[in-house]
Amino acid sequence: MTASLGAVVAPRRLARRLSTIGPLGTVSAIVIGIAALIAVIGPWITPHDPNSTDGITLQFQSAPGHLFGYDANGRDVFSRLLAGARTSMLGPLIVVAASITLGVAIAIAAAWRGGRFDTIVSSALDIAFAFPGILLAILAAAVFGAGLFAAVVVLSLAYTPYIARVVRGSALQERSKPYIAALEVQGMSAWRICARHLLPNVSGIVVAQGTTLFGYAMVDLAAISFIGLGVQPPSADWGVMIFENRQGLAIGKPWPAVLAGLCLVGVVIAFNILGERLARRDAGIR
Amino acid sequence: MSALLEIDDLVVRLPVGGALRPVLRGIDLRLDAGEALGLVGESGSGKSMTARAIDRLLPRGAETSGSIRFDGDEVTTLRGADLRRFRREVSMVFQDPRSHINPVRRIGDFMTEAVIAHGTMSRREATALAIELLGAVRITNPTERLHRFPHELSGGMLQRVMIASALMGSPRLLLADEPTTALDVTTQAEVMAILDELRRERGLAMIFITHDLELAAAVCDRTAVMYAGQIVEINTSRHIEHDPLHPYTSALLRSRPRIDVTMTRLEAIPGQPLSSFEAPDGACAFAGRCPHAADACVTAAPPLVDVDGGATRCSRVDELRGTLHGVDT
Repeated sequence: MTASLGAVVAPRRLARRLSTIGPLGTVSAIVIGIAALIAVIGPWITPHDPNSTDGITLQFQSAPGHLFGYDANGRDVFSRLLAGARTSMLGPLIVVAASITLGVAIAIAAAWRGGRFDTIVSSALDIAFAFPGILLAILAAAVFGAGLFAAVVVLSLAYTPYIARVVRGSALQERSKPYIAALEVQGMSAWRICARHLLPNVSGIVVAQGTTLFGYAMVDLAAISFIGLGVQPPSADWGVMIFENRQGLAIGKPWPAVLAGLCLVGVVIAFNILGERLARRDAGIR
Repeated sequence: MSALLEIDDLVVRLPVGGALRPVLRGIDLRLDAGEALGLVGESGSGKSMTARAIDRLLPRGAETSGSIRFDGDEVTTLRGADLRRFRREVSMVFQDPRSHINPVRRIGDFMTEAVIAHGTMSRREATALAIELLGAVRITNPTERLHRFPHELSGGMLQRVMIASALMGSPRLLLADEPTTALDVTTQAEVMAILDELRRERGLAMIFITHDLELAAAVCDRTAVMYAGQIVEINTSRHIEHDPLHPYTSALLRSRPRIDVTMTRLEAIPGQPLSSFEAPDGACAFAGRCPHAADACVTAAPPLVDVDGGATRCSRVDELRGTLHGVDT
């Protein structure tokens, strides 16, 4: 998977890979690719300083050289959108990476051990499902103070069951396949069989589920930032931008908030579609 | 010779529909080092389950009693590193090689991973041995095959890879669970010949599981016939083939197709094979299908009694001796 977008892959092979996720999936992958690129280089290509309040007297006004004009605090909207891509996507990235690590470890342990251990883990996951991530994040902000870090930690834990449940199902199915038994009778350790055989063979569903969760995490983190408990102003972040420019919606100047919202929605939808296509492809292979 | 494998009163119960049902009902076996034993029976008679019990590969929830000793050490209670060490001494060849090899790994990986992981060999040594063994199972271009994926090889080829792989760790016992059943007839003969030859060369003990009594008798020193989770007759292969002492063995021998006799219809054993948990408690499990069944057969379960250097589980063994037919010579 990691090499698929690299330059080492021949264009024809890349095209064949993309064809397995369909045209809509391909568009989604391209949208995500562009968003990821901006997240990496965004802060360096802003035409103006995203935190400069030069246009403080020109709130919500357009101005030459400012593509989307000024925001509520007289900052360049376009520059803030570019710079905001990084903070908006970094949080979900960490959430997904952390919940995958934790979720996959729990799922494979449960599928491998089975029996009572599996029953206990599965019940614990079902209970964990009941906790809404965003409420926990608000609670964490109350305890540890507002900020991206607390929100990311809490959401990582809250999303772990979503990964673990799906992967457990897949791993359980894989575990019962004869080739796993054949490895066992060769005297190979459980650890090795899990890491080198079981894990790679459930990686498809892990990637699919992780992609979908990325979208969810992005919405949750933007919402947490919107209510002021996540990314703190004046940092550029799409959720923060919606919050900062909300008065514009009332006075007929919705563009700064709407643009930030569109960026968010566009990327989230792309992640959802791609996640769903990857899951469907994975199911097709099985 | 000292016994490599000793099985005493092995009983295995599996959870079926909420209750534990017996699939093996008291197996006693003894296998010397370098000896080949055939395990023959119809589907569900427990032959595969016996091999799986030896290699501790029983389904979840299975309950085992009795004892299995390998080289004098009890293996039914092994755990962790000890179990892994034991498993390296025992190799298994499965009926369907394709489903027993990770489809996304290359042949070379499949063959060398275990020995490299165990630290017995370096990658280079393991690769050299893999090439040598692929040559020994008569696979052409062995070096090139190491880079192939399982789906690129035919079933017969893959089974030979499986056999080569089984020999990688220099095991002392080979459990061959219907290794040729899934192959077409010409491939079967070739794979069987390779297996037999390599086993003899290496002085490897083998339990050969098959439903083909004649094939078992041809490659094995001794043959055991199983029915409904029990051994009903065990003896030297020659004895089993020509002088069966159990009506079931005789019926099996007579139900095979022959090319030297014109028959309008193949002889079949009447009735259905019994699964071991349907077997009646106080009667012979085969009585319902046995042409020689008498009152004694349904009033008491016959024990396995030593006869003619082997053993048989038939109440009427003394009356029937000499009247049962085997393969004519």
